[in-house]
Amino acid sequence: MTQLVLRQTLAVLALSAAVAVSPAFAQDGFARQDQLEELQADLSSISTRVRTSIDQTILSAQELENFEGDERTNQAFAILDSIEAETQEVIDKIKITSPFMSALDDARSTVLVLLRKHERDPASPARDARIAALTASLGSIDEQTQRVHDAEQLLTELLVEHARKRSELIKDDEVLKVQVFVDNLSSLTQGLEQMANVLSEISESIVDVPSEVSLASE
Amino acid sequence: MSSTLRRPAAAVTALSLSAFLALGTAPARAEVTFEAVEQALAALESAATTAPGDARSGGSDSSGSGVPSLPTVETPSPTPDQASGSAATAQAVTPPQGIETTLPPSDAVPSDAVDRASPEAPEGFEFAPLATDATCSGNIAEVTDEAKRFSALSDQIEETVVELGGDFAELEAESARLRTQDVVACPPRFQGKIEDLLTDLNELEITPHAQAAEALSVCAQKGRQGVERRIETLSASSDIKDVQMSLAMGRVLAPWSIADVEISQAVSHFISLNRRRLALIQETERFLTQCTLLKEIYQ
Repeated sequence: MTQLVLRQTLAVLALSAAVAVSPAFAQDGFARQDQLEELQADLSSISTRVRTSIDQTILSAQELENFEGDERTNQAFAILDSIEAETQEVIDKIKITSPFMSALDDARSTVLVLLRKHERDPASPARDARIAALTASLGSIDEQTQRVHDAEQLLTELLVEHARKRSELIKDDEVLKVQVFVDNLSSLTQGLEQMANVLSEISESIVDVPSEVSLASE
Repeated sequence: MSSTLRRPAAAVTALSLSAFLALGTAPARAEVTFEAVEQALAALESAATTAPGDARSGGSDSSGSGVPSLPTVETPSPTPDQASGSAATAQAVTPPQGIETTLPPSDAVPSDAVDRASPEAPEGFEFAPLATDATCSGNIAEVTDEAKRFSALSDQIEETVVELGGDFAELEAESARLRTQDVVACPPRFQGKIEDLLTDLNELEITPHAQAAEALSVCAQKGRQGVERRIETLSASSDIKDVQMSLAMGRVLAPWSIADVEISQAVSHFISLNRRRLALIQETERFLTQCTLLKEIYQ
């Protein structure tokens, strides 16, 4: 049984590591708006992986009852390590210095400049239509940005909660209250699940960034 | 350096061509003399809304940073009268060869334009007022050169921003490594690196360039609008000379449109780079705060 849980935990970690060493983009790279689609796809794959990881973590937690003493404590720490690595990786993908946010910012700058410019154009129905399209784009980008910020905050709170749990485990090194720990663990995985949902939604949202040419043809 | 290649020329050629065709102007076989094109170009150049020698502030880069010289943009306090009566901002010009220039057209500024506070404007940057009375050069060659220089400058700044982003990534990795080592205080060398990066980020000036590029953008837009307006007027005429002139003006439209798009892209690039710079500052300051906290906890 010990081997099974270890295998599961290692599988999660290995999966995380595999993704970590083959990112599509440098973690803190500057990205332009034309990379947005690719970056969204990257988020999509992560949300899928997070879901798999959650399932495996839950399985590992259920197996905790089969351990005793130090071994149980070590397993509990292994689960926390796995969740923490997962959470941190997702945060890295959406933090303010991430390529995704850089690309989103770049898109916003483009739309903002175009919007302001078209507002200076002579009044006409075509101009109004262009302004409406750009305003809608700006609203969509701002909405996405807010959701990403909210998601990052949620995950950071999750890590804080995680640190508290770890502290409790250290204090109670025999993990006598396994069931309590497992219950608490479910609240952590729920946060991660919520995160996966948000990531999935963000990756599916289409950020339409009009160009001068597309606006003219419209 | 971003691998993104920006090709405004091709995009704008399509844009200007479509705009030109949409106006239903000259038939393809209309004969246009070289003189007619020259006349149109001369008219446009003289259509500057400023007196000779007043088109630019400076004209040389006194800082030596390769910053393009800047057009002067006056930003009068807008009033409802100014906003609605923006035609007053369209200064009369004396075009040669009987060509009536319209830079900027009387309706270049929408009638409902008011000078908004631009609440969505990026940090430290202000868009030119909608009812701006910009003093611009009507020389398309100069505007084109300026646009190209701004574009090159934004690419150059991107290289610096990417480099500083690399320094930040190193700090971040070091911070993560220190966390795993149960370090109770930031090593002086690490803190020194944080402070150096903050200095570099704070010293990187982007907003002034964005502001200057925005001013040039207004000028390029005015130039383009003026030509479009003229083409529209000419296209309404059935006189063959007007039709020929319309075609000539259509050719003049392309460089204005290219400059207009190129400088707009430079403005948004500057704004984007500045956002990136501010994000890096915010996160680097967080490292410094963590070091301070550690020091306080263990002292």
